[in-house]
Amino acid sequence: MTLRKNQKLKKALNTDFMYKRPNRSFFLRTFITVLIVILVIVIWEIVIEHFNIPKRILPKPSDLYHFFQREFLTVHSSRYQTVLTKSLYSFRDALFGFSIALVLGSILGIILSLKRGIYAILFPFLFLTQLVPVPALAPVVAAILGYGYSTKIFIIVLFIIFPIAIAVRNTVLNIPENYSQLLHTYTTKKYITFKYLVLPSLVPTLLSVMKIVCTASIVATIIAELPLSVKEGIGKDIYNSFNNQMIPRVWVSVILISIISLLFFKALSYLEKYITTKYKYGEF
Amino acid sequence: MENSKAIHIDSLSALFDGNGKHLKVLENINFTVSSGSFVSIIGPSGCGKSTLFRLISGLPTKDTCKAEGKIRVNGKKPETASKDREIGLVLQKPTLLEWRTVSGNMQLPLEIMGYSKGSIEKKVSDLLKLLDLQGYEKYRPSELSGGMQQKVSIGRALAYNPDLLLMDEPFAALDEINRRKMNNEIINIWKKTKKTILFVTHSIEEAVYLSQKVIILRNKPSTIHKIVNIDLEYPRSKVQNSSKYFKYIKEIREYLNEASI
Amino acid sequence: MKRVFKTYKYVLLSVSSLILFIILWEIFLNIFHVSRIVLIKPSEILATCIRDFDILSKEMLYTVSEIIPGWFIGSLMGILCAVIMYRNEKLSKGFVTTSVLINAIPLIALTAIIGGIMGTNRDQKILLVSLIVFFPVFITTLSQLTSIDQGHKDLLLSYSAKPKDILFKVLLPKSLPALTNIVKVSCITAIFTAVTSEFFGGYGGIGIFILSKKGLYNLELVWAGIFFIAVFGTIFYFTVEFLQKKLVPWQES
Repeated sequence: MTLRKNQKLKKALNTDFMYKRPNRSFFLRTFITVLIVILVIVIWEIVIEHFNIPKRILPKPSDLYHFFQREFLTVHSSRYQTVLTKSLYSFRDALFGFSIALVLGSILGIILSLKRGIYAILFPFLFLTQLVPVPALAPVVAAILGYGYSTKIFIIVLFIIFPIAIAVRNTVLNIPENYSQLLHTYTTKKYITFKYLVLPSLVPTLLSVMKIVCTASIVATIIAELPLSVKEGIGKDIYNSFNNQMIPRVWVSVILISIISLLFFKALSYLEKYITTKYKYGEF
Repeated sequence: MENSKAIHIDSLSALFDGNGKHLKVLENINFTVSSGSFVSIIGPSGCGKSTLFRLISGLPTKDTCKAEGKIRVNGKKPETASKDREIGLVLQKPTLLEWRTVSGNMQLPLEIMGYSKGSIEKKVSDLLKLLDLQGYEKYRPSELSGGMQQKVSIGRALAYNPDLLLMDEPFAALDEINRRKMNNEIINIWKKTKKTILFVTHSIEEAVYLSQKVIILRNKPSTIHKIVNIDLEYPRSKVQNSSKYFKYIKEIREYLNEASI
Repeated sequence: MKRVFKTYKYVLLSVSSLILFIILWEIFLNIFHVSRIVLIKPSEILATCIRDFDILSKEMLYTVSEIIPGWFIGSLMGILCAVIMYRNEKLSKGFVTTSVLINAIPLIALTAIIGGIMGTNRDQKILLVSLIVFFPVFITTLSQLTSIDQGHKDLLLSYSAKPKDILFKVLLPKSLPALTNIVKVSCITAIFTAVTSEFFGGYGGIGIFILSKKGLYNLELVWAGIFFIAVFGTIFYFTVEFLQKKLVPWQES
């Protein structure tokens, strides 16, 4: 009796499950997931058909398919952009802003780690970039920088630079003393310490923070597209379609951009896995 | 029912079998620890000390670990003895809960085991007196030194009055002076409470200083190499400079060298 | 007096740098007459705040009535779900996957979809804020509850502790620092979500107010609105931080 209770307890405290990945059941699981998805779609269609729910509240899968058909499978003039191209444009801009924010954020983070005074002085401004919602900030930025492309990138960078800088700063400050002292015995030149100690310790941090801000960069892109008169992004498209009650279009755009976000996130996860296994990053 | 054998181990073997690995951790271990005695276990790294410790204390071992043979603690299986609150553990790290005070930490097992509030208060004040920690009730672990934290964790282990105290290198992280101080403390506690103590250590000198009997383990095969009875009086501080003391140390060191080959 | 200065040295530095910036901003615009369409003087922003205080605060309060319930519900549900599920592997894993999926949907998209279903009323905003706040809180709490020191594990097993005891005496107190941190950060997320979702329409709120004013090139009111949001955000965030310090006095950072 006591043995079983102890085993139950042992199971309760077992934490391995969050990281285990059994291989055999993988295909079974994906198959079941696909089955469930198909089932959901079928039920969805039937329910809406049966209860006659208006299209503006919840579109049917068949509505979505019709839109898909019209948008992609019929011939359009070459100047017309599909929701797919628009989403990809948004993604391109998000990626651009994302990369710039990474570089600038890392530099900023390192600067902030140098002296506590610098951090104190700059902190309120960084904090405010997070506090003031981007849509409110967008018209202000647009007033200064104009309504073009650079504003969009500026807004995206502004949105995600703070978490990156803070994460970088925390990593630099948390490098254990013994490592920095060791480097100090070899050289007093800061750039050598930087190259051999700081940069390598930043790699895991950047990988993890990239995963956190990647969806944010796409969110920022779409938000930035709203007030600006750019024709290329999906944000404006969703806004207009929503106001014109073109709900299937809204849904398909949403699904597309979500898939792109998810793929972005997955790609970064694989990048993280690849780098950490290849270079065998342990912990301090 | 009083049992003169606090721990009785007979033909104990343990095996790691799984993941393609097949490793004999312990082979044919036999020893007894009589009630009220102080016994140390010493051995080279990899000789299965921690597995043995876990098996005696009733803690779950790795899933791939299979054990055979007989272990009896107070005449019962280790898990049963643990359930009956007869085993107290002191591990290498104090692992105190940082949000609780000293008294809060010492009463943790009592709360879990459902003691009444009044008896908890009394027990904690007894423990503070025993460990010479009066005045430190409201301190947080982060405010204490390593040695004091270990004292608190010893107090916590004694809270529910177990017959047996299992200690796994508890003073390994302390400096020489503090370690000696803690050694004297634990002998004091042992004399006052008359408990059975099984003490795992890496230090030959500590084993000779503390115990009545030293069990030397070896690896390849992981069995008991030798058992040395220490015939010295307590308190050992009086005899720690005698030639007999050093003879014991020399003897154990030689055995340990043999055990490491 | 000197001791006060020392402990709050950095806070003073932050505040004074902000004030200095505002003063420089004012001076700069007084010297160089930049077009009013581009930048507004702080003094004018302040004047607008005072002049239109009524309507600004009314709209702000409406938004706050979306932010705070949403933040509270989201955090509470996140913690509760983690506590309910942390022992059950399959359930937690499924929930985690779902949350990653929903989190991947950009906010605007989510607003549009839920707005289509529910309309763009206050409840929709509260639902949105709760959803966005829920997932980071849930994931953080879950990961905290499922990570336990080997040493603690062994000791608790030796006391034959019941899962209920382990949860309340060890796991929850241990996870309080990270938990309160994520709840604190979620304040910002909640504000952001509420204001952004108002851009898609609604019956009130400071986001809609800014949207309408911007269209009319009334940039002062936009700035005033931003100011109100910033003030509320600061108060909200630092209040939660104050509560955090009370709840988690043992945290060292």
